[in-house]
Amino acid sequence: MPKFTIDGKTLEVAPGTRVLEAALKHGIHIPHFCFHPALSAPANCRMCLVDVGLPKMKPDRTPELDAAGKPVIAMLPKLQTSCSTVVSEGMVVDTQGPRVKQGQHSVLEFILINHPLDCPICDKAGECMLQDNYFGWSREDSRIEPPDKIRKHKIVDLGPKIVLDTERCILCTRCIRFYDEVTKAPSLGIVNRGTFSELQVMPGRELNGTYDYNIVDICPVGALTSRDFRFRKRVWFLKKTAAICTHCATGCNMTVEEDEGRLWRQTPRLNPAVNGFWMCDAGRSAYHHTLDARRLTQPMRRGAGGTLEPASWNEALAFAAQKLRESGAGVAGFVSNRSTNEELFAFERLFAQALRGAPVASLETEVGILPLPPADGLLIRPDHNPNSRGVREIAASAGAWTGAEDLLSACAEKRIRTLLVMDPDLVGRSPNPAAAEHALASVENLIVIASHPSAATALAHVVLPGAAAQEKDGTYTRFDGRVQRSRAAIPPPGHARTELEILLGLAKMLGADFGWTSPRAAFTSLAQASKFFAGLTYDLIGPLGAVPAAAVAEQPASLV
Amino acid sequence: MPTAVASPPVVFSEAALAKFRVLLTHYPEKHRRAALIPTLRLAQREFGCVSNEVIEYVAGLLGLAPVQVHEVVGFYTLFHREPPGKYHLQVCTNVSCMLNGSQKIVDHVCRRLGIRPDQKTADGKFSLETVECLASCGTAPVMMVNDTYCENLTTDAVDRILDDPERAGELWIPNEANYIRRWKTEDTLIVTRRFNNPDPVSLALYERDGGNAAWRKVLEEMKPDEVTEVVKQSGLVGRGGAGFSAGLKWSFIDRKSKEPHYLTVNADEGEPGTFKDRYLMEQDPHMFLEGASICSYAIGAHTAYVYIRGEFGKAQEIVQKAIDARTAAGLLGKNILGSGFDLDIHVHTGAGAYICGEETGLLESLEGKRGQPRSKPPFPAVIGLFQGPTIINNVETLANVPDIIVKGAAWFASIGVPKNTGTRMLTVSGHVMKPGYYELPLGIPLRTLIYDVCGGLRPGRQLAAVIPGGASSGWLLPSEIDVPMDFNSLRAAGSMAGSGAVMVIDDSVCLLKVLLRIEEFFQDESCGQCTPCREGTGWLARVLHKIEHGEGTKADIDLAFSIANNMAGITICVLSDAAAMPMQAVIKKFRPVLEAHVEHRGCPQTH
Ligand SMILES: Cc1cc2nc3c(=O)[nH]c(=O)nc-3n(C[C@H](O)[C@H](O)[C@H](O)COP(=O)(O)O)c2cc1C
Ligand code: SF4
Ligand code: SF4
Ligand code: SF4
Ligand code: FES
Repeated sequence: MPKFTIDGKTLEVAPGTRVLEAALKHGIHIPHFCFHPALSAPANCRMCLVDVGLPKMKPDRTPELDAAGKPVIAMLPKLQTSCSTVVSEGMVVDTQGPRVKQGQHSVLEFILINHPLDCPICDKAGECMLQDNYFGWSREDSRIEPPDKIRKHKIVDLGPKIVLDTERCILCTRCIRFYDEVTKAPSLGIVNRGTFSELQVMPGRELNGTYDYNIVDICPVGALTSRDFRFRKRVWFLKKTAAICTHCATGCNMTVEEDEGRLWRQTPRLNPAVNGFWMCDAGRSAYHHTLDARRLTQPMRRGAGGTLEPASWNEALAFAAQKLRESGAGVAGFVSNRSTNEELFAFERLFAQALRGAPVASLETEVGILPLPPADGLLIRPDHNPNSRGVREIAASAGAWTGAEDLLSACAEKRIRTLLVMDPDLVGRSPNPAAAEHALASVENLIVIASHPSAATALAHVVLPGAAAQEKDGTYTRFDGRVQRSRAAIPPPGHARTELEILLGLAKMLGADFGWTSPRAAFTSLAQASKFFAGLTYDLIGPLGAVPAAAVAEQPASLV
Repeated sequence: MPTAVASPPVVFSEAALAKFRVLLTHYPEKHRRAALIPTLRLAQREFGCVSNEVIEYVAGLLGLAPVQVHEVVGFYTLFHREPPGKYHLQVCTNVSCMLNGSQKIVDHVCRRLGIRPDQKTADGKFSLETVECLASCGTAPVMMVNDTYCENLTTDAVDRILDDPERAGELWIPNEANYIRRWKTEDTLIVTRRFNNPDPVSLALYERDGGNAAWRKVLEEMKPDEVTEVVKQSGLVGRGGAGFSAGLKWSFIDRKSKEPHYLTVNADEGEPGTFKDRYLMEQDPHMFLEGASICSYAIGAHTAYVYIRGEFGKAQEIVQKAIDARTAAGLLGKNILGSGFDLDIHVHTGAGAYICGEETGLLESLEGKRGQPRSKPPFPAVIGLFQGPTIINNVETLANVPDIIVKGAAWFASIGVPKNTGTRMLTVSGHVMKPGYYELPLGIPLRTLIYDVCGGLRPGRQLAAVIPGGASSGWLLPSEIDVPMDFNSLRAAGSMAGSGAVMVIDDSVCLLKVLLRIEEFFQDESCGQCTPCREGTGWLARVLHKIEHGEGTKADIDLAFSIANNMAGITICVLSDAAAMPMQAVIKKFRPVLEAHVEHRGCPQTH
């Protein structure tokens, strides 16, 4: 492992490490633009210049020593780009000297001469690398008069999702490399050359892929903007919460961004073992489903006239509890692979402790709740649900659940009188929707916990409005067993409540006490009850999730 | 009602497809993309231009994403996105032609045709473009009519050509003084020895003049390392610009690499003022091909490419014919002359980009990409073409090799000056009586070159400045012309020998105009990847333009100097330094010229 010295600090790094990577890892910030840790390093922006010295070698390939016995260092005649310089034994790097500062000043000035400086209307303002680098490394007045700037195209339509401002573009090629190297579907390129260089798509084509929004994130400036976010919100108003995407079994780590209880944006959150720096566009945009105006926000009960009417939580829960209690052996429940581990565990406990072990089933379906592009070997998986693995593991520790088809037949045959459903769309997601609908219609008391209306809520006798993923705390078990935690960014709308609260409310009315109420405590209890989750706690899970001992062997290689 | 005319489908004819298939055989199966630029050229000939449909079609042929083809098309100036006129006129306006009145030629063409540059006549017969150096500076001003060179132009000649463009090549009057080569009769000639022979392609003539003796000797008697050693001992340094020892470079080839080794001959000659490689290829293709064969043997390459500048249609044809002749004679191909050594040489054509003369820009271009130079390390001798160890040498460098092998390293080292041995082609243009190419021993004083070899200045004119090594070199004052014309001496004088292009400027022109033209050249030719070069070349050109047009201040002069200083030494290749160097030299040595423009609020020579 080569050792080198940077600003007087000696560091040991893995062979092949580049100076910039080593510096960033050890808290030495070298300004840069084109370098991105997940992409190749073209060294084109020239921002990350440093002074590099190498030990002088004698003809026998051993370092020459000075009078004090220290290796003699020969500084290279030119500044080097730290993003492309591989650390070698005995290398000396200076990131602060006057020559380095001069180089950084020059490069920043060159970047800024043709930059429009329209920060006041730029969506990137506040998270722009050019603003940050200017503030940190230059702060000089411009030596070019605005009329001398080269004008390019301000609004270039790159397709339904992305808008390009070629005046802001600093031609770092990050976006080009994203397609070339990550999705392997080259989509962007630079035409012309020199001062007239411009980023373009193939004329007559557009960006309409599965991962396009990622280029907005990695654009170091405000050249690429998302149609979904452009001009909507200044970024410094946004409050950020670490969450998990629930639209496929990958479970991309993401940041949910919100202001005053309203969701504005979701962006990928780095997790080398799960999604790297990226997430798919469908998952990113899925917050619109949470914003859906048709959300269920009010408990409802079927009234005398046969229509659903608003009810108080007390009425609704009391009615549901009464029917569950009354129905004796005619009680059953449906959970789903869209719920958190804690919700599944609470449901399981409710049925085991308060309902005499009445049968619980779950659809074994890969159908989610939003349309998603097909699995692609990159991030999107065929299973469009976040917690199929969690269902399997919790069912296993509870001693296998009933098959979904058997339970639906039992409903159709009226052997089930009261059914508690915690699936967002039991009819639509089942392999035979007509049969499922008939089954639900045959039940005397259909109680549905859901955040959005569905065929099941239309048939329900009681509707208990639940929360969307961004509105609740909990964990999901990824396909490979990794347990990941998602946090509530906003409260559920209107009178809606989290599923955990709803299940605890029912348990209370049915006289059961699980000994815990919070998601954190629920998980601790789950880890005691289940061999699979044994040993894990919320503290251990942390921001990047944790792999239970039982699943270590299944882990894929790191993505980054 | 007008009916829509269906445009013909974009599909290659059988003949074009056959050519395309041959092209594919020139490159490794894994690197088919390398055929992109030649295929686009084929497509442009077939379809008249490179439209979006053509891009999609070519992308499909080579299994590329359309945008990968689009960005390549957008890099090279020889690709037309729309059909040009039946006769496409390209008038060079770079320094040497400018010094010899190219603006008059452009104005005349515009007046005659009623169009401006980048326009087409209404009948579609003519289109006009002003272009960068066409490597014919000794016979400036120069224009190309499609692929035909028209030199020593006058407005009369232009009239004749426009009246009968089909015969363009015969309608201008060559000036014999431009093709002298020799100063004193006893001078040794190496690379131009066989110039003016009646049939440059003929192998029989070449062998009658002693050709191929070196190639036979190498194959029969020498080990690869011995060849490299002889070349090293000869003191031969590269003639492409950097002046690096050829033998030493060959010895760097990574012998451990499992990837195939390559030789790439740099025949992209584009440095303004340089016109040697084009003539070397047209006049005696066998000599450099023999040198290339010997180099391939020394470095263990079984494939070599000659990357020829796109504009050099005639050279491409002649070199290809010479390769065919050599292959037919068993001097190339499998088991050459029974030695067991295999070698194929392919011609690869560029498409208009000065930066592809930079060796790693050339490799990218050869791989079918935008010609953007690579970061070094790794150097091409370790990871070069198609990831294999690669040596890149200039045409003239390689043309010296056969004589070195036959006559010995010591013979070669006895010519020229110590450490800069042999002869060199110096191409002199601008304001001298006898511009042209000369093969002279390295180290001849610049004063001798201008006043004795080239017949001095025009009557009544004073020397104003000399650009001694191509547009990239620092300018010299009239008081500095006693410098010997070799790499080391010119470096010591704060300039460089570069490509051997000497441009002589007398007091009849505005030096700032010349400088501005050079900086505009670099602005157009910067590949654009490095921030300082992309932005700096453009900024410099704009500031100089302001000063030239009387809108500049004294502060703008300092600004230009500081821009140039800031551009130097911090980019991927040295084009940025090349753009800075003339600017820095002019401000240091010719500052009064700039100040006069500020004081006169414009050019004092035209006011
Ligand atoms: C901007 C630029 C343009 C160049 N153009 C040429 C050229 O047209 N022909 C050439 O032989 N070398 C050119 N060179 C030099 C090559 O990079 C390289 O040094 C040379 O081809 C090596 O061959 P040699 O050692 O035989 O000279 C250029 C270099 C730069 C930086
Ligand atoms: S759009 Fe952004 S990411 Fe793409 S090249 Fe320009 S600055 Fe870089
Ligand atoms: S790949 Fe899956 S988990 Fe990741 S963002 Fe898309 S839908 Fe969500
Ligand atoms: S210095 Fe200029 S020409 Fe060279 S790589 Fe950088 S941008 Fe391209
Ligand atoms: S980050 Fe190193 S050159 Fe751009």
